Amino acid sequence: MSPVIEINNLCKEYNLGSISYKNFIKDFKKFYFNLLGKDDLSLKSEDKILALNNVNLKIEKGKKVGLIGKNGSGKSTLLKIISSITAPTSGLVKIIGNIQSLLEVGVGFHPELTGRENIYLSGSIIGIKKNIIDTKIDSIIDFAQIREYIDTPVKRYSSGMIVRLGFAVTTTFESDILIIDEVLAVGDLHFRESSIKKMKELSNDNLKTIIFVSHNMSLIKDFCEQTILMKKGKVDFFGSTEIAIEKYKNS
Amino acid sequence: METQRIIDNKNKSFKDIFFEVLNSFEVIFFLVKRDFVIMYKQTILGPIWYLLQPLITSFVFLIIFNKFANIPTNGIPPLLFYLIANISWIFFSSTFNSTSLTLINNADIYKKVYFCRLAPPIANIIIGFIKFLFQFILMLFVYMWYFFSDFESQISVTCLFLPLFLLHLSIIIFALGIFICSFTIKYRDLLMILNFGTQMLMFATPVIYSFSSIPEKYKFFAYINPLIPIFENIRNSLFGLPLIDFNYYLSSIFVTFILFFLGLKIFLKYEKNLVDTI
Repeated sequence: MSPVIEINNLCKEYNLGSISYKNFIKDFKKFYFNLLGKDDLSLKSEDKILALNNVNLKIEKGKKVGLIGKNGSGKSTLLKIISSITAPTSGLVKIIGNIQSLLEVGVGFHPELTGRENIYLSGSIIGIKKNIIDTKIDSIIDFAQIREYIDTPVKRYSSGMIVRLGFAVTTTFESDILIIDEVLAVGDLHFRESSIKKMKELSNDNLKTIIFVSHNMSLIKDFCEQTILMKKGKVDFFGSTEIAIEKYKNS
Repeated sequence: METQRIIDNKNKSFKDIFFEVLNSFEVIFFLVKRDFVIMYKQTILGPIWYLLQPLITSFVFLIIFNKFANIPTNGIPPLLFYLIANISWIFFSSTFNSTSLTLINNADIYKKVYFCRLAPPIANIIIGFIKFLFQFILMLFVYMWYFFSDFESQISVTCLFLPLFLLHLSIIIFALGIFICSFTIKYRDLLMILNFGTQMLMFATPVIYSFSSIPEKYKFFAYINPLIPIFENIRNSLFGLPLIDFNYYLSSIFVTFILFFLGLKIFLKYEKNLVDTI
């Protein structure tokens, strides 16, 4: 199988500290030195942090891959770069096929709009075409279990209803690659079960590649054939899920 | 068979962003719809306020600048003279201000999903234009009232160019808006001077006076400020007065062109990392 996601020497640098006039002086200096075509020697490396440090990965088509690691190990940064939310500082990611990331449910929901209006708005933002939503709107409403409230503004909804609606919209998208970031940890027990069932349904598709981030090891064990373990911005281990979880627990 | 996409640290090209915007037609449509629906859901008097605002300002202008200061209006009824300039100015200043804030206001969405980063600014300009149209229709009613009472307007074919001037104005708003946007991601200082700056700019633009009434030696400003020829032409084309000297307008197009590409270039430089600094 050929890789659908290929990550080469990926680095992501973040600046530390808050933004003040000092940054402006720094930016100005950088601009000035760029103009001269020289390197600015006054730039110190201690003001920066490498959230991702030379990450190399190949994820094959149809694989369900888990992504684990401590807080601050670079999981979210990696997902953000793969889903184009932010650009890497250096290195590159090659992606074949279309990608959808579920970093949050109900992206772009506006409290004043009705459930139906929000389905179209949020759907269009995450990249679902209007005609696809038209054909699937009934199944979205049914899955979210909010048929009687669909024409009420979302600000009247309970938080659970908003989450269910958001989840229902996001799983409508038919993508080759799906990225899920712990969104399953929301809603009541009943809805959690039905959303896990939905995820399993999605993952039964042999052609669909899924990257799944969670701190819930039993879910990872259930879902994923392979797991990436991140540690301090580097890939510590990539391989069978059991070994990755074992390593993670011991670290 | 499937397309390969590469994510790296390069800026998008003008061609990429052009096609991205074209493909984001639906997002822009739903964002416009969102803002339109909210506009009405806020208050019952909401839409009426959009009409009252330019009317009241025009009356105030009429009293101060026409009655007290005796600034000539070239034979156009003063109320109409100020009304058209006012609604065009409100379109410029309020849309420019809100466009400058679109990146900050939509930060939550930008942080969670990738979609065309230019969609909110564009949607914002379209919303501004829709508000302008409401006010324009109001102005037409006032125009008709004057037309059937005593004002003998020479409506000429130049009014057919009006959409062109409005498009030109929208492009300037877009260019300046995304330019300010790109900087406000990191430094909010520009927002502080924005309100003040647009207010000052109003006096450098023929809103309360007409271009023909300014002394000859100051007329070269029309080469620098691209808004001068547009505002003069919007008004003159409606009332059948001769358009501004074509050289001024050509210069305005040229400046707009530069602003547009500069704004886009800077936006493209900052958009890829905007969620990190916003």
